[in-house]
Amino acid sequence: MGLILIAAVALPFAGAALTWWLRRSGIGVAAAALALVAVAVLPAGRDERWWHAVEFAWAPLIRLDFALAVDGVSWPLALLTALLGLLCCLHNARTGSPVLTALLLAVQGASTAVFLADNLVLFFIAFEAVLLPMWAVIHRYGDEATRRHAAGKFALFTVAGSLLMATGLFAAVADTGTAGLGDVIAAGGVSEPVSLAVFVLLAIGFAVKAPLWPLHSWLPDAHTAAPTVGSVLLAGVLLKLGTYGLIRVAGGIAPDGAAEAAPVIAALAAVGIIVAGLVCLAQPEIKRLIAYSSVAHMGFVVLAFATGTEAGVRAALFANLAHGLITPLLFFLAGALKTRTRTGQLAELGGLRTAAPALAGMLGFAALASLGLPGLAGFWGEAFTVYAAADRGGAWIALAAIAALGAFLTAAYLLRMLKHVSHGPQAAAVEGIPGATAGELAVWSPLAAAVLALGLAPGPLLDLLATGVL
Amino acid sequence: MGAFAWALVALPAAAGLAGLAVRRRELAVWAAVGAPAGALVCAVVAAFTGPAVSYTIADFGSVRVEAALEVPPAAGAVAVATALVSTLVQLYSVAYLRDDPRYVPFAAQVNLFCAAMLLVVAADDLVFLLIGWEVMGACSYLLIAHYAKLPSAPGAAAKAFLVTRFGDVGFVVGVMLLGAAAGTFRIGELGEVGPGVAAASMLLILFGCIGKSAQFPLQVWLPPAMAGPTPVSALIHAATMVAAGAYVLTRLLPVWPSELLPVVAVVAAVTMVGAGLCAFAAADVKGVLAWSTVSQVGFMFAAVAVAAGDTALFHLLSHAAFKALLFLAAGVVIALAATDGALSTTRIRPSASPLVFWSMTVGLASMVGLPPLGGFFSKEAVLGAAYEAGTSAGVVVFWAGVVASILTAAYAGRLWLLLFWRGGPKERRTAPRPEAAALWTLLAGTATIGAVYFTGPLHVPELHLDLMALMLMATVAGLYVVGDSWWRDRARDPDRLLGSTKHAFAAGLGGDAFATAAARRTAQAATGAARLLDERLVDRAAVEGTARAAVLAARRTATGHRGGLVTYLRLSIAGTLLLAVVAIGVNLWA
Amino acid sequence: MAAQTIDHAALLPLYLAAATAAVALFAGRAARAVLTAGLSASGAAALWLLAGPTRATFAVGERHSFVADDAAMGLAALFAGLTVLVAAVSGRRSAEYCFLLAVSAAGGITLAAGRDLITLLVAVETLTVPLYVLVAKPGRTGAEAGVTFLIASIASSATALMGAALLYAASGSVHLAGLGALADGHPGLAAAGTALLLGGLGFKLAAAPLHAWAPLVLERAPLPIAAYLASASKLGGAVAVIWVVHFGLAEGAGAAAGIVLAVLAVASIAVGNLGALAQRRTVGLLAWSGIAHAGYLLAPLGALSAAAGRDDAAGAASAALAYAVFFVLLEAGAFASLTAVRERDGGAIADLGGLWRTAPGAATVFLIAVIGLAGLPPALAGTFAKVAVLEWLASAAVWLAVVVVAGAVVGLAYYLRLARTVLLGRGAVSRRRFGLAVLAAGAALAAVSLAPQLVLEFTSLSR
Repeated sequence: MGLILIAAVALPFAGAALTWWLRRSGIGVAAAALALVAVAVLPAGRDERWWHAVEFAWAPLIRLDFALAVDGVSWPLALLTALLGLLCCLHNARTGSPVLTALLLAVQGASTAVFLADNLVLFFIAFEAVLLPMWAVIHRYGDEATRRHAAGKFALFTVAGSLLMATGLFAAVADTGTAGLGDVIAAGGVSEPVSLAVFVLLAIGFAVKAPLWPLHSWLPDAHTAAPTVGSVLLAGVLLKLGTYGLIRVAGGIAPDGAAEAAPVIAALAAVGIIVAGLVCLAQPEIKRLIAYSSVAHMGFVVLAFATGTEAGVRAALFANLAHGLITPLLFFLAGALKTRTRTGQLAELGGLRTAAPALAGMLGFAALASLGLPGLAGFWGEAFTVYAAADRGGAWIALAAIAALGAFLTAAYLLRMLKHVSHGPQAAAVEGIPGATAGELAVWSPLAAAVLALGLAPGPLLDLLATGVL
Repeated sequence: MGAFAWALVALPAAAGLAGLAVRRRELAVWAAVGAPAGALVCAVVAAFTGPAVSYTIADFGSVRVEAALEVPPAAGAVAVATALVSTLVQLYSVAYLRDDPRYVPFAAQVNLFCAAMLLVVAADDLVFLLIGWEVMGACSYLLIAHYAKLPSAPGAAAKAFLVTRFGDVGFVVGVMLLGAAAGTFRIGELGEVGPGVAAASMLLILFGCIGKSAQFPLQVWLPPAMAGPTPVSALIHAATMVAAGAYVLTRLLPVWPSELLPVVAVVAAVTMVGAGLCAFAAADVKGVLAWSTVSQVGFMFAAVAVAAGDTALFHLLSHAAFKALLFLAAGVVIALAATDGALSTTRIRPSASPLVFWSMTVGLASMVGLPPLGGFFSKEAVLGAAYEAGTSAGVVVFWAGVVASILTAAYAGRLWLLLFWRGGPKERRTAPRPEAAALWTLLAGTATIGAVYFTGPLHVPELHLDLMALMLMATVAGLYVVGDSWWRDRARDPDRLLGSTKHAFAAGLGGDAFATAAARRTAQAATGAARLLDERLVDRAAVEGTARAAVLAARRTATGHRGGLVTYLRLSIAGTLLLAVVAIGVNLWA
Repeated sequence: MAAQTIDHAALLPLYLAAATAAVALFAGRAARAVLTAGLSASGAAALWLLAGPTRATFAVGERHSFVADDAAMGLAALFAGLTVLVAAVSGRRSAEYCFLLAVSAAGGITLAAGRDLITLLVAVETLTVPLYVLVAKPGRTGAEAGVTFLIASIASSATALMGAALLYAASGSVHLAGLGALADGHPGLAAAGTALLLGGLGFKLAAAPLHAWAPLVLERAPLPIAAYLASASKLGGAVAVIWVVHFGLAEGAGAAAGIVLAVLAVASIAVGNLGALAQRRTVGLLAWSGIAHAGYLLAPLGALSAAAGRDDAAGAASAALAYAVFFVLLEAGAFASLTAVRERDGGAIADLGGLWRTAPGAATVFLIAVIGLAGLPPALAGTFAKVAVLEWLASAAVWLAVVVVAGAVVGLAYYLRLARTVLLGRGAVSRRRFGLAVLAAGAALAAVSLAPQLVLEFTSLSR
C-alpha cells in the first residue's frame, strides 16, 4: 500500500507534467481519475492508527524525510482533494486550456502531499508548493480586471503565513528533536514553556490560509478573481490546508498552547462568523458573496476546534469537509451562471427558476446545504459547533449563541441571493440562456450526492474521524 | 413494528426526494398521493402498536445523535392527522394545480414537508427532531414561493423561513444546552437536568416554538405566507408547521420548570386575543383564516401553559380537521368567485355549491365551538384545564380564552355572512372530484373528531357544565354582536365595530410592517458597520495600507541612494560608525 | 623553532588555480580553454580532498593557518566552478581577462581554507583586486563603476584592517582560534574591532551599511562580471564573515558579534527589499535583492548570543553557510541565463517580457533561479536555503525569524513581478547563447534541489 500512497501524491504531478508537455487535457483527466482511485483504495487493509506509512530519507541534516502516512483524519481530506481535482479537470477539459489543467493538477498534488505528509519539513515544503501554481491559476486565467491584484495579494498573504508557520514548525522540531508529525503528536507535543509561542506561530500561519478573521482579506479578492475551477480548489482544498493544519498540526504539536490561546481564537472565529455574514448580507456580487461566506463557515470550524472538546474537534473536521463539498458546488454553479449571463451582479439577475430550472434547482439545493439545513452535510458540523461551545459553559455559551446567530445570518444572505437570482421576473441577462448541460450535471451531481449522503448518514465519517491521530 | 415507524417518515421522504428528479406529471401524481397515503397506513398501525426504534447516526464522542422514533398513542394520533391532511392536500392539489407547469416539484415538496412533520412527531431525539423541524421551514420557503408570477411570493417565502429560523437560533442553542447538560438528546432521558439549565434552555426552545407556531411576537410571517397556493396554506396551518411548535412544547413539558409556565401563558394570552382582533379586521378570506390559526394555536399554547399537554394535542387534532377543511373550501370559494380572495369582492350564493357552503359552515361552527363538533370539545377541554389548574397562568389563559372565544365567534360569523349572504354569481358549479373527495373526508373528520374525547388516547379534563355554559354564552355573544351589526346595515362590513382601529388590526397592528422596517434598519446599520470594519479598516487600511506604505518606503529608499560615489561614502561611513557605536555601547552596557 | 612542514597536497587546488592564472596570461586565444581546464582540475582536486581526510598546513603550534577541511574544499570547488561558469558566459575575451578571473578564484580558494585574520584579509583582497579592472567597461559609465568599486573597496578594506588591528590589540592573536582571548581583553576594544571587521567584510557581501555600491556597480559592469560579483565574490564575503565569526569571535566576543550581525542582517533585509521593490531594471533588482539575501544569511549569525552554550551552537554558522551556497548557486543561475539572453546589459524588467516563449531554455533556468530566490517550490534549492535559516532561527531568535519572514514577503512581491513578466509579458528580443553553460547552471540547481545533501553535508560545520 505504500506505493499507492506515493501514487496518490505522484500521479497528479506526473499528470501535470505530461499535460503541460503534450498540451492535452485528456491526460490530466486520466491522471486525476487514477489519483482518485489511488486515494479511494487506501482504506483497504489498514492498520490501527496510521493506516499506511512510507518513509525515505531525503535531507537528514535539515530533518527532511519523504514520509507519507494516512489516517482517518487525512484520508477524507485527500479523497475530497482528489475528487475536486478530478471534477475541476473534467470541467476544464471541455473548454479550458491544458496549461490550466496542468496547474490544477499541480495544486492537487501538492495539497494531497500536505494532507499526507508525516514529516513537518515535508509538510512545510508541500504547503509552499501549493502557492505558485495557484497564483498562476488566478493570475493567468482569472477575471480580467482584478486578477493581478488578487493573485499578488493571495501570494503575499500566503507566503507570510506559511513562513511564520514554518518558524513554528521548526521551533517544535528543535524542541522535540524529531520532525515526524505522528511522533511529535504521540509524544504529547512540545514542552510546556515553548508551547504557546509555537502555537501562536503555527496558528497565525494556518489562520491566514483557513482564513480566520482578520487575516482573511486576501480571500474575497482571490476567490472572486479566480476562474471557476480556481475558486473551487481555493474553497474546497486550499482553505482545508489551513484548517487541517490548525486542527492536526497546531493542535497536535502544541496542545498546551492551543488550550491557552483557545479563547482568543474562538473570539476571533465568532467575530469572523458575524462580520462575514453581515458583509455577505450587503454583497452585490454573487461570487464575492460565496467567497465571503467561506470566512463565516471557516469561522465555525475554527470555533469548534477552539473549544478543544472531543465533540468540538469532530464537529470541526466534519464542518471542514462539508464546506469542502458545498462551497465548490456553489462556485461551480456561480461560474455556470456567470458564463451564461456575463454578469454576477445580483441586481442584474432574476428569474433563473423559469429560465434554467435545473441550474436554479441546483443553486437552491446548494444554498440550502450551505445555510446548514439539517439533513444535508452543512448541518452537523455547524450545529455541533454550537453544542461544543455550549458544552464548555460560561462565556462559551455566548459564543454558542453568536454561532447560532451566524447560522441565521447565513440563511438570510443566501435567501437574499436566491431571491435575486432565482425568483422574480426574468432579467434581461437571464432571458434565453441555455439550461444545464449533461456534462455540467455530471460535474455537479457527485458533489450534490455527497452533500446529501453526508447529511443523512454522518455516522460513518464521524467514526472515521474519531480514529484519527490527533 | 419498527419498520412501520421507519416507513412513516421514509416513505414520503423518499417520494419527495425522488419527485425532485422526475419530470413526468403522471408519475408525480402517483407518488404525491401514494406516499402520504402509505404514511397514513403506517401511522395508523404505529398509533395502535406504539413502536420505538433507535439507531445511532452521529457519534460526537461525548454525545450521540440517535435516529430514534417513538410513537406513543398521542403522537400516533397527531401522526395520523398529519398524514391524513397531507394525503387530502395532495389529492386536492391534483385538481387544484391541474394547469400548473411546476406541479411536479410542488408535489415533491409537499411530500418532503409531510415527511418532515412526521419526523418531528415521531422523533425521540432532539437533534433528529431538528432535522424535520428545519426541513419543514425550508419546504415552507419553497412552497410559499411556488407562484413564479406573484411578486409578493419570494419575499413572503423568505420571510417565513427567516422568521422561523430566527426563532431557531434560540431553539438550537436551547437544544444544545439541554443536550450538553443531560449528556443525551433523547427526549425520554432528559429528565434530570439542573433547574437553571432547564429554565434557560426551555425559554430558548420556547422562542423557537413561538417562531414556528407564529405566536406573539414572531407572528409576522404567517399572514404574508398566504402568497403560497391554498393547499399549501392548508398544510402549513392545519397539521404541520404551525402546529409543530405547540407539539414540541407538549413533548418537552416534563422538562419545563413550572415557575416558567406563566411566560407561555402571557404569550398565549396576547396571541389569542390579538390575533382574534386581527382576524376580525382582516380584509381577505385567507387573511381571516390565517389570523384565526394564530389565535387557535394560541389556545394550544394556553393548554401548555397549564401543563396540559394532551389537551393541547386534542385541540391540535380538532384544529387540524376544521382548519384543513376551511382552507380547502376557501380555495374552492375563491376559485368559484374568481377573485383574489379579498372579502370586499369574494361572494357566492350557498346554492352555487352546497358542498362548499356546508364545508365552510361546519368548519366555522367547529372553530367557534358549537356542539357537537370537534372544536367544541377541544376548546372546552382547554378552558377546563386552565380552570382546574388553579395557577396564575391558568387564570390568565382562562380569561384570555373566554375573550378569544367571543372574538372567534365574531370573526367566524363575519366571514360566513360576508361570503355567502351577499349574493354572487348565479350559476351552479361543482368542485372537481378530487377536491370534493378531500372536502367530504374533512367534513366527516371535523364532525366526528370530538369522539377522540371519549375514546381516544388523550388524557383530557372532564367536561364542566358551567364552563360549557360560559363558552356557549361567549360564542353566542360574539355571534350576536356581528349579526346585530350585519342586520342593521347589510351594505357594510361588520368590522366597523372596531371603529377607526380596524385598519390597524387589519394590518396586524403593524407588526409585520414594524418587523420588516426594524429588520431592514438593523440589517443596514449592522452591514454598514461590518463593511466599515472589514473592508475599510481591515482590508483597505491595514492590509492595503501596509502594502502602500511598503511601496512608499521603497521609493524613499531608492531616492535616498541616488547620488553616486559621494552619497555612497556618506552612507557607508555613517552606517559603519553607527554600527561601531552600537556594538561598543551595548557591549559596555552589558 | 624548526621550519614548518608544508602539506602540499592540501594546497593542490590553490596551486592549480595559481598555475592556471599564470598559464592563461600567456595562452593568448586559448586562455579561456586553459582557464576552464585549469580551474576544473583545481575544483576536482578540491573534491578529491573533500572525499579524503582533513588536511591542514602552515601551523604555528597547534593552530593551522590553512585548513583543507570539507567545508573549505567544497567551497573551493564551488569557487572554481563559478569562475568557470562566468568564463563560459563571457564570450571571447582577452588573455588578461582570464588571468584576472583565475587570480580572483585563487583568492577565493585561499579564503575558503584560511584560518587567520591575515590570510583571510589577504585572500579577500586577492579575490577583489582583479575585479577593479574587470568591472570597468569602456566608456564613462564603465569608468564610474570601476572608480566607485575601487574607492568603496579600499574604504572597506581599510575598515576591516582597522578592525583586525583592534582585535589583535585586544587578543594578542591574529589566528581565529586565538580570538577566544578577547573575552579577557578590553570589551570596548573588542566590540569596536568586531564592528569594524565585520562591517568591512560586509562590503564584499554587500550587506548594509556598505551595500550601496552593489546596485551601482552591478548595473554598470559587464554582465558576466556582474554575475561573478553576485555569486563568487559574494560567496567570498560570506565565507570571510562566517569564518571570522564561527572560528573566532563566537567564543571570545559572541555577544558583540551577535549584535553587530543582527544589526547588519536587519538593516540589509530592510534596505535590500525596499530598494528592490522600487527597481525597474533586472540587474538592479537582483543586486538590491542580493543585499536582502545577505541579510538572510547573516540572520542566523545574529542569533549567536542566544545560542551560546548550546551543544549545536555551530548550527548558526552551518545555516548561514548553507544559505550562502544555495543563494550563490541561484544567483549564478539567474545571471548566467540573463547573460545568455541579453546582449549588453540586463536592461529593464519589461525587456524580458515573454522570454518564456522566445528562449524557453534560458527562461526556464532564469525562472527556477528567481523562484528559488523567492524561496518557493518547485525551485527547492531556495526552499532548502530558507528552511536552513528558519530552522536555526526558530530555536534561537524568533524575532529575527519574523524579520526574515517579513523580508521574504516583500521579496515575493518583486520576484513574482519578474517571473510574471518572463512568463506572460511580451516583447523580449533575445539571443540564444551559452547553451551549455546555462544548462550546466540549470543542472546544478536541479541537482541541489533534488539532493540537498550535496550542499548540506559540506556546509555542516563543527567546532
